[in-house]
Amino acid sequence: MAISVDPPIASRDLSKKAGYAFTILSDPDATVIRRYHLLHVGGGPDGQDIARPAEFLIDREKIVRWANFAEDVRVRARADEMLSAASQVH
Amino acid sequence: MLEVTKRSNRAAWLALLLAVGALAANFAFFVNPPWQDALPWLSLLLAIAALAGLGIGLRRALFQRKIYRGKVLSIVFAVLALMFAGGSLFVFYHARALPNWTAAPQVGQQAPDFTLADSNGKFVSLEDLFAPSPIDLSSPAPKAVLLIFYRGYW
Repeated sequence: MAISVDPPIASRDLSKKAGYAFTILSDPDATVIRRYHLLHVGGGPDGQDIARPAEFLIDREKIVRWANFAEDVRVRARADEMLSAASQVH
Repeated sequence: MLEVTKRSNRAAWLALLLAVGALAANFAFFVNPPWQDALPWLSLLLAIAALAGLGIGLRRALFQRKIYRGKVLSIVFAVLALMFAGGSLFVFYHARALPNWTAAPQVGQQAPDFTLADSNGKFVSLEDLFAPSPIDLSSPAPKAVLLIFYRGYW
């Protein structure tokens, strides 16, 4: 599932356009983004506060089992990395 | 006086070629190659090489006109190379100007709880994401959840 500051309507459009079946949550005030210490102050196109890209694999005990923090906004975790991390969780 | 054939200013057009390569490396992200983590560095390397090349090319065009021909074309090439290489360096810097992540939850640490609205306005908590799929009741509850924070504005 994914989180951004986008409003639900923008997430719905994105899901429809890209054919995503996973949950997309809206954090317009960046409350959860702040809680995860991922706030990029002024990082939005018009200087809005947004999330810096990051991915976490969380198990049922809510423990982080794998994490990736982008160093370059264009380079994200690859699907094979995430799948291999997920296969380690039993 | 002995008439000598002037040499071609290879540095100037090589600089343009390298700068075009630096720019192209930035567009290669759109095809999403598996080695995309190398692309920013490839772009940086090509841009720096282009800047070095255009420095040499400009010096030849402006101060060594007796040896090299094509002064105007060399300057045009150098200006284009400067634009493309400069643009690539600008993008390289901005794409990496991200806040530190050391305060974020790390492997082995507890993931903070949350409840947020989904794309239909329905509130969903981290706990809810571990519930069995409402679509396929026969499938077991997920063992893990992948949480992706993204920049938005897509």
